[in-house]
Amino acid sequence: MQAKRIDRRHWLRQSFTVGLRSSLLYSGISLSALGCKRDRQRQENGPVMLDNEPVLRFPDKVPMRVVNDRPPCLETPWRYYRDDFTPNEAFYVRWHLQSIPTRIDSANWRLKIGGHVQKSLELSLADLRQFEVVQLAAVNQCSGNSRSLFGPRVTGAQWGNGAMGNAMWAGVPLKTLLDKAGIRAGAIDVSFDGLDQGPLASVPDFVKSLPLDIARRPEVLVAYEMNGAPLPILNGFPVRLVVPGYYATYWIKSLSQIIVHEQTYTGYWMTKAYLIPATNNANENPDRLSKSMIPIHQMNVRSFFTMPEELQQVRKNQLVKLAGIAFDGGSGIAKVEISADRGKSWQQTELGKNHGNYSFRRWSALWQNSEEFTKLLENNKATWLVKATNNKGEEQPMESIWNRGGYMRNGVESWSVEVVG
Amino acid sequence: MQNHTPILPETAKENSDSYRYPHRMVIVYTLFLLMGASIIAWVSLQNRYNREDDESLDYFKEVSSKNLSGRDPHLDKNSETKTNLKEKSLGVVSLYYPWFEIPLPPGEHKQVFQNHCLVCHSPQLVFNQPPHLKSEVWKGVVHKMVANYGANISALEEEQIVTYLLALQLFRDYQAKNVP
Repeated sequence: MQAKRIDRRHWLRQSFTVGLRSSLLYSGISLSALGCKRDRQRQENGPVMLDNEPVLRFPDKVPMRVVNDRPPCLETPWRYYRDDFTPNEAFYVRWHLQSIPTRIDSANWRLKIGGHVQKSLELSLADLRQFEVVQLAAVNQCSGNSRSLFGPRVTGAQWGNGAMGNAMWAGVPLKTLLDKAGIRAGAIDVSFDGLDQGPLASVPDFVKSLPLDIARRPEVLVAYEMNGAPLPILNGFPVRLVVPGYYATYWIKSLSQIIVHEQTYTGYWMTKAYLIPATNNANENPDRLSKSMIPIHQMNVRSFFTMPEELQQVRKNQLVKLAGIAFDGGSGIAKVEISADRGKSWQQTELGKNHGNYSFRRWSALWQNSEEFTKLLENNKATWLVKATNNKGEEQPMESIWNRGGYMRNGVESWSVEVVG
Repeated sequence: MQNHTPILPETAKENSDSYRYPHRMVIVYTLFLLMGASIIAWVSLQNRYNREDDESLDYFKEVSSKNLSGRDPHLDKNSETKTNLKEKSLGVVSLYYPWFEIPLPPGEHKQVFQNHCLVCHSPQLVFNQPPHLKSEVWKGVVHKMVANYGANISALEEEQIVTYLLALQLFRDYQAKNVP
């Protein structure tokens, strides 16, 4: 560790620019535009405005869009979806309650398993590593991913499409741990608690639960590794629950306690929050809200464009490579189709490497402008649609669903480029 | 009798041994001492940064050598110490929370908003909400904080907070329109 050299001039410049920067920050003026040289420390950690939205660099993270800074909610920049696996440094972050864990001594940390079991357990990180390791690729998607695109708009964390990521998770199957503790007859529900805590005594702790049959599925993991490295503290160091195919609200970060219940767990976060209408694809009418609500569960099928860059310029007869990702709640992607004529005809795309049914599946296709398509250009823009179908035969709806919570958006996505002579 | 020393011209002063001798020795001794001190300092610093067993540097070494995953081959040499090393190699993981607080625009009941809302979340969450929300929507949001999260807000204060939230929304809409 090299000590930072500080001289008087540097100190004066720094103290001046810190004041100047904070006063200019929210007026949307970029300091680089003023020609001020930023020092390295600040450039790495200080907030920057992009398109009038704050972008902040948290420790071990690339600069990310700040949906909220306290508790942190950070969105993955779109370019990172060009890889099948989302790097840990760019993996989105979503916490509900401050305070979040900011200091974890891995030597003293223990995972407690108790409740309706034969023998309560307290496992250290080393204990968890004694069990056979299971590796699995799975998409982690926030229930409210794409909430800011709902119409009419709904309140809540205003995510774009970047509240999702795919990672190779490694850890112990939850079933192994539950079997070690020994589930007693009559148990039906399992609840999970992390190290985060509410700021007031009255704020309900963030605890989620899964029915026992789901919790005992072999793919449900207590993961201590993500893409071959320990989880970043913002993504749930030292271990987090991985529930492949389910929305990320169940993937409790910094997992600290697992309790087996005889009755259905009825905590706030299961019965009052994260509820969807009990209708087809969680759709409801803004004017006639659904009366029957159920906890959110499995993910629906989605697909996105990642290439080319949106609104990129392409030449009239250039061969354009289109690519993107598709995923669903665990049945796997059967096909991905694109349409260049707003849904009248669909063209099959080529699917990339299969990392398992819970992972992102890459799709790609080639497209060339032709006489036929020239007629369809609007303001010289070519627009494509992408639609995925899963192995259960479910496909994305042409019109996006709506519900009051802003959950489970999965409509067909469109993407445009500019065609120039 | 007073013994007058003869007054010498400047050039003679410089050339005489009595003036030149101590001056030269001061320079030589100073240089000698400085060299000695810097050699001692250099050697001791080198030792400190190269020492394998300096515990105060362990954490940085481990972080910088990226053996965080606990999968380094040298960890498997001795199975008895393996567990300890794996635990130790992960060490204390801590998060430096970056500073980021949005200066709030002036408005009626700003203080009530500051007192009750920012306890739990950053103003960024409020700044980020959709534009042009109706006052009923804001009322619902504030009431949810009371009913669901137990915020200590009276009925009067709920109304005052909604007043400020609407002012904040006007400010944001203005900013979105006018700031490039």
